[in-house]
Amino acid sequence: MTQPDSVLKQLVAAATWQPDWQAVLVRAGILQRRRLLTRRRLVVAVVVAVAVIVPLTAAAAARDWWFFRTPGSPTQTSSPVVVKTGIWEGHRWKLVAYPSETDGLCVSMIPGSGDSSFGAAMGCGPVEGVARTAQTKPGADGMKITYLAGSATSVLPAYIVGPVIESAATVAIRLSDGITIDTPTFTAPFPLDHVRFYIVQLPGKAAVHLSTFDWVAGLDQSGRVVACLARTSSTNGISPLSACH
Amino acid sequence: MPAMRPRGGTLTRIEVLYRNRSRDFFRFALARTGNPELARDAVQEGFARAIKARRGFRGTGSLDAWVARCVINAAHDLVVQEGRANDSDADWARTNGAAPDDAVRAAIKALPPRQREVLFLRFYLDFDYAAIADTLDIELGTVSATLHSARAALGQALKEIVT
Repeated sequence: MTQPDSVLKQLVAAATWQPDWQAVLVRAGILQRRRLLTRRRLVVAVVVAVAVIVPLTAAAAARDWWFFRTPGSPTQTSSPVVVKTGIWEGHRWKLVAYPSETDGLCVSMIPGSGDSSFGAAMGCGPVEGVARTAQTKPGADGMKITYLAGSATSVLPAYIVGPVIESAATVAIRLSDGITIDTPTFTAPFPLDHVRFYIVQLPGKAAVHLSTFDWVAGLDQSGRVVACLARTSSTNGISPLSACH
Repeated sequence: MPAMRPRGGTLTRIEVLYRNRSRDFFRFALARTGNPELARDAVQEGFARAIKARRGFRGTGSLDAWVARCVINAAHDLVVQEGRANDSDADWARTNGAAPDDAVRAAIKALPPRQREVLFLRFYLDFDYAAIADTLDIELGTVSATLHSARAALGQALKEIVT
């Protein structure tokens, strides 16, 4: 670390940060509106539930994810599925994904065993193996690997997660400090059974930025690179395979 | 390297940005104001303003840069409310006894405000040149030169303090 860098680090070393998204929403005047909306939905649900209890239960469960309570989330083409669950450093997490009408595959990392939006994150991208729809946005298409990464919070350590094409048996993640992390990929339930996923905790990392990663690569059974996303050479989220070496 | 594009609406993208990067925005605001309470307030207020004004985000530039502008404006307003002339007059002595020493403060304070701003955006928010240019509404070519000057000036100031 250069001297100016160590000075800049020293400048902010002492203070701690506690995120509070709910407080931001209150300041912005959003939270109250959302609560009213939720109450209205609840009333409708109770009324309908008397008549058709089983379908409604299923529908309610399908909609009961934090991202669907967040305005602007892409509409699903089929229900979100829990791809994997786990525990890191005592923190439970859940990886949930669904195919969307407009934005390709949406992947969400949700801390805890419930469905709290606190500390949750979601990203969407047109990934190969997830069917396009007539409404899928034009532009980038057929990404073979991508990622969603989160900084360490009070509810989750830093992590990287993402989808990769189904021929990838492992994923290699090259950090900018030269370390490479290898991790096996795993399958997802139908209808995401033509995509595989990977997820890795990033021990010792607090803040995660785009520059944290040099590249992420999917490798097939024989160790050949079949998918690549490199920081320095990518077009619409796709890099030449040669960039991941 | 574009990671998964945060989906759909601007509000959700702002939330994802907050969840992933509010700590960095806080460090940025803290460096600018020198006061943790002001910095916390600036980040919360900046994100709230970004939400309120989200329909004005055209999506042509980076959302990070746009929110950073909101945080900078909020920090500026809060500092002015505090009675300081401007937010470049950071008072790091308030950081609860863990403040950087006088020499460090002097070295940072000696930088021209624009150089300081570019340096902070680069270091704390890890912005690339395009995002810095977007945030500060300056030419892309100016960013590199300003950053170089800032690092050189800071290095020189620190060298003089040591010797």
